[in-house]
Amino acid sequence: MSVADTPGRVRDWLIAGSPVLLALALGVFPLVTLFVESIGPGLGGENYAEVLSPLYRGALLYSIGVGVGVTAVCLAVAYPITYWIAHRCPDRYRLVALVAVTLPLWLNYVVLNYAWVWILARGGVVNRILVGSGVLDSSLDLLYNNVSMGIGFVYIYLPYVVLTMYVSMERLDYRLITAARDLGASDYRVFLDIVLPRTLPGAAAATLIVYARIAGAFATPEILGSPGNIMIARLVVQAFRQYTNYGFAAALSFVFLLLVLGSLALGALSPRVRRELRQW
Amino acid sequence: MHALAVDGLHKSFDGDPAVDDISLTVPQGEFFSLIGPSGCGKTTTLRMLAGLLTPDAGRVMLNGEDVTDRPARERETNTVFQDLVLFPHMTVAENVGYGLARSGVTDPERGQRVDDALALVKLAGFGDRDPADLSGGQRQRVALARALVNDPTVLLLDEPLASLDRTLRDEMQAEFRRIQRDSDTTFLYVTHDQESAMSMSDTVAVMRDGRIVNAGPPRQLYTDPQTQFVASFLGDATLLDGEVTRHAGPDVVVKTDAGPLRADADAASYAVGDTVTVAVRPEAVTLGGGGLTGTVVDIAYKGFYEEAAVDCNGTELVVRRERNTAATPENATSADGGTGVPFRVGETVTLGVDRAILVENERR
Amino acid sequence: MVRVSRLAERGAGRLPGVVVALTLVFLYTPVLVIGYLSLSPAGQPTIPIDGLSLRWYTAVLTDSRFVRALFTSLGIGIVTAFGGTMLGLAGAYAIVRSPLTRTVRRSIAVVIALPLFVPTVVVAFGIGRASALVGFGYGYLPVVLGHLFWVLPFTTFLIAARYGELDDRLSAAARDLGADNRTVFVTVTVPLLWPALMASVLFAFALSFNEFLITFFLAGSGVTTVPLEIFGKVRIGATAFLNAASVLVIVVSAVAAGVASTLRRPV
Ligand SMILES: Nc1ncnc2c1ncn2[C@@H]1O[C@H](COP(=O)(O)OP(=O)(O)OP(=O)(O)O)[C@@H](O)[C@H]1O
Ligand SMILES: [Mg+2]
Repeated sequence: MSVADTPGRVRDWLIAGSPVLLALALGVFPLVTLFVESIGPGLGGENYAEVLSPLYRGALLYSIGVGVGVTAVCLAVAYPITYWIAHRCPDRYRLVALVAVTLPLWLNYVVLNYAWVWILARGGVVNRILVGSGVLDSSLDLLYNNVSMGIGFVYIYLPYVVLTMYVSMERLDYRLITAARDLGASDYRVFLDIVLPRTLPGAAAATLIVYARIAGAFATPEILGSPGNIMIARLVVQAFRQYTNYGFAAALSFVFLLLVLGSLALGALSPRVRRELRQW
Repeated sequence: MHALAVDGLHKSFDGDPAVDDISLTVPQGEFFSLIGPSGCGKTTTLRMLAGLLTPDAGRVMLNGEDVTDRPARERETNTVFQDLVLFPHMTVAENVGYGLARSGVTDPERGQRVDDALALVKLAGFGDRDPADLSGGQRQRVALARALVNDPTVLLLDEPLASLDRTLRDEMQAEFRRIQRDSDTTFLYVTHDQESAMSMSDTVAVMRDGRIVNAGPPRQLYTDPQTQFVASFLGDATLLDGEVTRHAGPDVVVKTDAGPLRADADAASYAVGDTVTVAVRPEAVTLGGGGLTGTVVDIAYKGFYEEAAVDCNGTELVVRRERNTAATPENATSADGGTGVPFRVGETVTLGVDRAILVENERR
Repeated sequence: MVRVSRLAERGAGRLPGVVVALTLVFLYTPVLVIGYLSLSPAGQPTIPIDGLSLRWYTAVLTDSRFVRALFTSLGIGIVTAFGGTMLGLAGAYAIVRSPLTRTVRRSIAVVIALPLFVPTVVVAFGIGRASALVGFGYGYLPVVLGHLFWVLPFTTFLIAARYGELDDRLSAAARDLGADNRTVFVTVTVPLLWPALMASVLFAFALSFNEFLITFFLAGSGVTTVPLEIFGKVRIGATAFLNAASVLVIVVSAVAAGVASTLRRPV
């Protein structure tokens, strides 16, 4: 080879090799294992038949629904937040504001979700205040339903969404907004015509990061969700814990994975998102 | 022995030759400039000399030693890069001492040499500063000191002044020349600015499309360029095609559209009837008395002199004349032969051409 | 100019500012509530708490199970932080700087990003099964490997972002001045990447220290980390002990976050 083109190829493959090996060994190999287990002895496919029975279909759809819903709420809230930080916040405070809204990213989500129990419980902060101030006569059941679980999810994943979207929002040239307004656009039109298209890549990236994790979450539904609404993670954990029926859990995982990737791909395939993603 | 000798250097990127057969020699202590238009392969050449890029073919010799296969760090060349690239996380002194540290020079000596180098570039006492806190010209000097302090056999400079404004550039040029003499280092200076190259260098090589088309002392390149490209790249020149009508001794007479022009044939021999190209520099054109007649089509004021484009039979020649500020068109009789009378568009003038230059025409 | 128009133009009214304020309340109320409740002297705090006491902190810090879990988490966190950062540096180099072809580098990035878009429960379950099948079983090694895998995309892309900004010509300049590859790396690349590397160490530590699901699948019976310990207790019920433990966990991660926020990029 040549004098100037050192670092050589071999060395680069070695350097790239260590993280890639880890990612393959713990990312790809286990998926292959699951797939093999899911087919089960004798290529029966019974596991898959069972997964598609109405009982589990419900859990699959519920998980996907929670993933979509929570991601949408996070995005909806993240838009005004990142807009404010990127374009309205005085320069001096911008970093502080960004750190403040993303700090929970560093904290433990089990603990943070647990804290919500104290806020929403019958004897918790919200009920004490409402009852104590005479607004309510008796405590409300705020805990262990879709809303409390949704709050827990948004609480954990909003910081991720904000951080990812901020990059796009900061790149959005504010003069475009001024120009649109100068041409007579209302706030609504400005958002639709300027802000949304220019920040779509950030929103897509944020979705990519949080959606799969929300749909497949275990702790938050366990701590804040309704015991009756079963998400996929609980089924997988149960099968794993009870050392039974790995094949079924594997099939369930696999179908779920395909659904998650499929729904992500569906979003990514829409021509508009595709066009915007190219900027990234 | 030559400080630097290069023989048959080639480099292609994806099949496109960027450097195509470059050979040159630079004696010790010389200020050698490599000039040419943007994209002609100057940086590529320099990177191969520095060992930062491997040539496809050719040899590089430093002080008679073949270094073609040695990486940059083992070559006694140092580079002042096109955009300086000072290390942002090091102080000025750490930047300058970096190369010494790599060759194992340790502290009292290293500190001393760094101080000396900073003094040479007139930055004594700036050692503890951050490069980011310096002005453009000062950063330039740091980059120079960082390379010079290692006593390279050849110092390679890649358009180091391109980013500076004109005043600073002129000042730094004089500095470079002084530092080059004081340090007695061989400089290989790359630029597309012909003016600065001409004023600083002992030798200038003109590059075009990956090749050196002409090399020599600046004066010689200016007065006797070999090709029409060199003639027009180094200063103003009007190029005319014509036919040799007489060839007597060193003199050739060429019949052009503008009229007959006399040129030096040097050693080359021409036959009557040959088709040739000649270049005419504005200084060689005099007003009045000559055998050419034309019409002024454009005038430009250039400070202390004035320039007129004169159409002679379809070919534009440029003629210059010192300006007399007292003269105005009103008290002027005629521009022809008079001194300091402004040109007027449309007037007819007669011109003489002292000497045209026979050049090779790459277009043919 | 931009600033003036920014101040002059108050589009979208007050809405964004209000959302930010509400979000801050939303984000910090639980932390404050749990901090407040952790000071209750009663084992089952009521709101408002009847008195102030640090006795539950003492209880937590003298609880051998919790302390053991804390040390386990710290140990795994530190190993993951440094290991994950080193792997992330290698990954970042491979993705941004290596002369590998574009397609290869893209594929490397996708493989490394895997834990982000594959649901954690699926990876965790898969790793658990794979580990059992190849005979690794459960315990420290699978947990650490799982954590490394989980933090890898974060460390890699954090470092890659800075690596990409790094001027390639700086290393050419260093080589020109006599540095070999190793010296270029030590004297130029690492110092310039330093803030990113530190941020990566800290963030990887926080991720590992707080990781729950992968640990849940891989720990087996022998290994207990703080999140596992807390999760186990949460299911039994909310107690003052748990509140104090939660505050301690938050403090550890907040320290990492605080240190990270003081990091400045050089130049
Ligand atoms: N790494 C590279 N890969 C592909 N092509 C290159 C590379 N480096 C240079 N080239 C090409 O080689 C030719 C010569 O480039 P070079 O940088 O040497 O020009 P230059 O004379 O230094 O120009 P300038 O005055 O603008 O700096 C150009 O056409 C350029 O596009
Ligand atoms: Mg160049």
